[in-house]
Amino acid sequence: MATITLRVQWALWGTEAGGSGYHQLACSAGEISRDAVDWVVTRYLPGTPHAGPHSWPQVTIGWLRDDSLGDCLAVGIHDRAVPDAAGPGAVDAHGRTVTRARLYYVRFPDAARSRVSYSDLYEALSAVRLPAASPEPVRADLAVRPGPAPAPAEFALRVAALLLSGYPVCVLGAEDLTVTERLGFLDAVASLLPYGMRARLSVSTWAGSTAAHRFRLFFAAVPRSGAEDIAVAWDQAGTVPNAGGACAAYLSWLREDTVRRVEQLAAAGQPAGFAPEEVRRLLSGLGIAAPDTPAGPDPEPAAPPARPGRRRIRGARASVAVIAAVLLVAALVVIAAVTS
Amino acid sequence: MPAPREHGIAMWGPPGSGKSTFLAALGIAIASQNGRWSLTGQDPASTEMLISSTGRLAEGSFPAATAGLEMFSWVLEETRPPAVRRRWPRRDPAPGPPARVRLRLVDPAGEIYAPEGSRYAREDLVTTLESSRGIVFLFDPIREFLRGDAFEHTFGMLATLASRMVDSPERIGGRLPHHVAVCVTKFDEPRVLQTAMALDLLTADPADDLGSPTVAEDDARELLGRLCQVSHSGNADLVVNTLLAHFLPSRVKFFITSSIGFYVAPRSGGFDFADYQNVLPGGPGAGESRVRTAVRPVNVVEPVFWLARQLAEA
Repeated sequence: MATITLRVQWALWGTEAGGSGYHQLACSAGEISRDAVDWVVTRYLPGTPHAGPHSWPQVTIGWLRDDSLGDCLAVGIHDRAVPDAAGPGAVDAHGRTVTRARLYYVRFPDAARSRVSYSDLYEALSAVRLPAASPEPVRADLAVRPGPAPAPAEFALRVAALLLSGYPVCVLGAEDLTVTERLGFLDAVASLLPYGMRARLSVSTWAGSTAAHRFRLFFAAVPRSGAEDIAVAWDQAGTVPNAGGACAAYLSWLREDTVRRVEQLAAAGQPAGFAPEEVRRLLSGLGIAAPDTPAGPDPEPAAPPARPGRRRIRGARASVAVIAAVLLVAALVVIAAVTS
Repeated sequence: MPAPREHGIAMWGPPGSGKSTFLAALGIAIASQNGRWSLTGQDPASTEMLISSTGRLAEGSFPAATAGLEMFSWVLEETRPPAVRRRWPRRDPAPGPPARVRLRLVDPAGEIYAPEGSRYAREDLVTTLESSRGIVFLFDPIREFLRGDAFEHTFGMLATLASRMVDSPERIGGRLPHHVAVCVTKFDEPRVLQTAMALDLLTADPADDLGSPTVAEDDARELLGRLCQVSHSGNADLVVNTLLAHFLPSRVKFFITSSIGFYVAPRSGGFDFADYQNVLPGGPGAGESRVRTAVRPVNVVEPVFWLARQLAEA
């Protein structure tokens, strides 16, 4: 087992003891911007823990492209705030239970170089307490498990292929799994995609079903309200729909020789995403001929959140312009007909 | 059964103003309406939210602080007894179909309304506000007395929303098309109740056998005006002015509310001015806040019914 050391930027997000409202409590000095923290927190908060049993902590892995940091993985460890006179309190000023998130920013090229898994990251980073004694970036020693890993099961194969549709995938019925087991599954799925796709893949060991999050692959108790996620039942391959097209072709390719495919994919560390053109490029690069799968709603647009209101208005103006042009042409035709 | 009309209703208020508690109390408030209305989840996630939040509050626990944006759909439905056929007169005039409104609710973390809140979260929230047509605006008089930040949690977001909708054909006379239920929260707090008493605005709630006090809707704005005078920052009156500048005054209605209501001692027979606080306050060192006894929401269902009615007619 090899050990590598990563230099990790960090931020702590929560509420001070007796405070009101979640916000950034502390962060490392230097490259990490307040904007980068806001970006990650807005997109990759797993939600409010309502009543009922929860698996703590909740681990999220998102991504961002920051001007200073470049491509980054954002690892979040979300936990109940524990009473601590020097740090965040267990309850806020209103006597409400609050959570806190430790956020760690790992440069993607550093992770890709050693093919670091989600489980490796969690194991190393969970030991790094925040806020750190110094505002400097922390150093995390990662024990990287040597490959090859056992061949993933059919359920993971199907989920990996389904992700190429662009639809978020929600895994239900896994309440009994530990955080480590959930991360193991997320790793298994990620290992069935080019390593570089982790630079655009967001995952969570738990996500609230009423939370407006943007995870692409996550565990949940029930399907999300009003979302277009594809819900599958834990470890039941039969519940994973066949999306056809590129997804089906990719699944066949994976099944041909899964162990070799995993090795091949692990070596593909160039950042890549899930947009239809990127999926086309991926399949073409692997020599897989397949029609496109109808693209799902991308949960993670690379740009800041779109403004549908403005789009609609521009659309409306465009429609008016087209109608005006048609009327003008029609009028000219009539005038030409009358004058001739 | 026709598909229910769908309307988005967003909660608006700073952290700790009681947005999630208000929604949790809604289920309890509707359950106490003699079965005339029912509230159900539109999908499994919304149903779970309804069950867990209502159940938790009924057991005396307040909701956890909201993290991010929570979105869910509840269906508010009027329930009627089956029609009775009569020989003479032949039949009562057929009533219209029972009201059925889908409430697409948005419960954001209060800090998103703050000027220093995450711009990405604010962007998401403005998008949901833009598609909503109803707003439950919570004015927390205690927070306003202690911090005085209601205006800063209102103005920036409202200006952004107005800017986003500046070309919207749905604007009316240059104003935003939303209906706004302004709810002055924490009526059960002594400072609020005593202010209402000093203004002689208290009446007995006719629907409450225990004689709990209430403030009539016509008097709500007067009480709000007086509470604004003790704002920590001194600019709380700008909140109302800003709301009335951006929304049609005819679409803004004021309510004095308490999500948990008043404490009534068991076997006491009724409300007692000497002992009515229903919160066991928590905080650092004191643990979680708790409800002292049964939750008896005051004016929680009324703003939602009013909004549902306005939106159904729109």
